[in-house]
Amino acid sequence: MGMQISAELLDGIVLAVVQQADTYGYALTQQIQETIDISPSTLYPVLRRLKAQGALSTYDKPFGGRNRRYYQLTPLGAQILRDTEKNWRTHKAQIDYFLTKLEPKEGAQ
Amino acid sequence: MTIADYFAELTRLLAPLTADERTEAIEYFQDYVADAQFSDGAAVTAELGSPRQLALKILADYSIKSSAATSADGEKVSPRANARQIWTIVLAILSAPMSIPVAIMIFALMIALLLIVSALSAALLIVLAGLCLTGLFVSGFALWSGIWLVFSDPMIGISYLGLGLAAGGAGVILIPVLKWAAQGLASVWAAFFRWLYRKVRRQRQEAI
Repeated sequence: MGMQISAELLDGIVLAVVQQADTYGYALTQQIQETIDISPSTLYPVLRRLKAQGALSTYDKPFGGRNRRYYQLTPLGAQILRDTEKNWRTHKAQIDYFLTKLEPKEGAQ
Repeated sequence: MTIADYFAELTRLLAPLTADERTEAIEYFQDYVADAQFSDGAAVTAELGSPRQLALKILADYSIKSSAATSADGEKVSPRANARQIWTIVLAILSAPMSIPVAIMIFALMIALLLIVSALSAALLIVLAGLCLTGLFVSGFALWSGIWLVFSDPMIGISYLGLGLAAGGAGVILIPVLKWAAQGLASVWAAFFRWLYRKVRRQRQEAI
């Protein structure tokens, strides 16, 4: 499980997955769960929030006698994803500096 | 429980939402369950939690968001909406995995401990201060009566004066004791708070 993922990063993860291809709730959850331990009930509020922001849009497609709701990235969503990527790169470099770049001082034990 | 029962229960528990919000949430999870090909309500519960847990998770997200939105607009949040939100969050916390109720219990125990320590300290200080004041009061009274009695009835007057001096002395002796007790209690309090702070900080670190 490890560290807590912030809401901003979770938004970014969902946007990145939807960017690859339009997808529906179950497939999206499965794809994220392959890497991150996250509960399906956590992803619903994220999707709802992104849709309300206009970062995602939805459309229904018939599947097996019912309608499946697909999520699609909007231009705003693509912009948010780029911003999140940029922020993450900066953040990652800052944390890496402390956790992986700092060496023991000469002569220190 | 069948899948239909699960969603009937979920619909009922999502009553605080508007019809649109409720339909959207229900449809999302019905979609999810259909795609996951769960056979019965037990499988759904294993994946999504009980209808109550799922409903509280959805409701908690709504109430936090809506209050954030109203306060951002500068509108006043009605006390009723606040009460609803607090209630929802309390229910969400109570329905969460055991660790959070346990944390609440530990928190309650800490508050209780705090109350006990403060009550004991206050009691000790009040008793000491009371003894000190009583000594000085008795002393003042006895000396005052003694001075008058010395003229009419010297022996009784002198004994009153003696009593007054003794009581005054006892009161004065208690003043440093009172000061010492207050200082001692202050350091005990400081130690207690340092301990409490370390405890809370450690738990918070464990929680992350």
